Amino acid sequence: MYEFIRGPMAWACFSIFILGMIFQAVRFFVLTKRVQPAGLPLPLRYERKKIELSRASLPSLAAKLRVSVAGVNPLMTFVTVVFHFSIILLPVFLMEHNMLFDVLWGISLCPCVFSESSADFLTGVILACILFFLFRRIFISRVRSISTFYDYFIILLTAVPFVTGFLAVHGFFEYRSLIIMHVMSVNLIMVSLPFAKFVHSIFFFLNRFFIGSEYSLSTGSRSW
Amino acid sequence: MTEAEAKPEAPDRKKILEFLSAHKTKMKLSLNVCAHCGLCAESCFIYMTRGKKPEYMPSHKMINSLGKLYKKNGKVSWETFEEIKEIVWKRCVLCTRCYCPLGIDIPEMIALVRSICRSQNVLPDFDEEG
Repeated sequence: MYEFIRGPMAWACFSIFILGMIFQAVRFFVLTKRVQPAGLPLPLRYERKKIELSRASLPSLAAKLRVSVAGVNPLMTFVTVVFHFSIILLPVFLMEHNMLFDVLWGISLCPCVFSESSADFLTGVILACILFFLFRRIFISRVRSISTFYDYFIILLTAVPFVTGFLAVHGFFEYRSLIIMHVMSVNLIMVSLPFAKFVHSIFFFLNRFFIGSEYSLSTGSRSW
Repeated sequence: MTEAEAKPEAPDRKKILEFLSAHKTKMKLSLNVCAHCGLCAESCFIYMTRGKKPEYMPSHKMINSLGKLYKKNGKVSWETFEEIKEIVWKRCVLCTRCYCPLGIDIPEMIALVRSICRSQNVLPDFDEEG
């Protein structure tokens, strides 16, 4: 079972993840059409020219930031950014994963990998972010009002790979069982990512960079 | 014939499903992609001026109107339609100010629900006091 979960099952789940993401991206471009950007100056829209970080442009940039989500919800924005960067960086630059890649395929990012203490620190940061999201969902009424069991489950599912990985590396409990749980949870996340709530990982970029709106992060060259 | 006599026993499910099918992909994507983060709340001036009550939050409005119609596959009662009417006409003015970090077009979803309501002859009472 151990070899099956680590081997064929992991490969199958990863393939579903890749194909699913491609499907969602293709579907987005099929369902949307190219339009001419409106060309009107919209309040929070980025200019075509580079944003000059000069003294003269600072008040304008500061004003833009103040009315953006970063200005209105700075803590949530900060935690979200830290969390999302960390959940990508940690698995990619983890020494144990790179040793595995080296054994399997002869490739690794060594020596540019996290040290054990750095990996532990980043794991702690990720778990703290997850706890923040969980407490926010429980204690803030407007978030609680639209939360379902599914939302809580997704948050806890996200924590499982990091908790089990940390426990396994540090020799708590039974290593093999922890690794099975670690890989199974990642398999589940990979399979559900293109189709469940995790799909916001790709649609954040597709919607915000391609669909034209007041809050578009680009020129908004497409429309539904 | 009085209004009560003219009104059918239940809403026309077939018509509701026609509307939902016509916007199926975007509607399903919007409801799926919504991370229930609540970051849209402060962008709604109605939410900000009505005591910041959760029911005025854009995502709450979308989930409890369109989400309800979608989950029940159009099989809703007139009471549910009255609740939805309250949401899409009393709690939203379609000012399109609402912000979603994931790019969901909440006003379009509310407008779709308004169209569905109109198709069922569920209309706002503009003469109502308060």
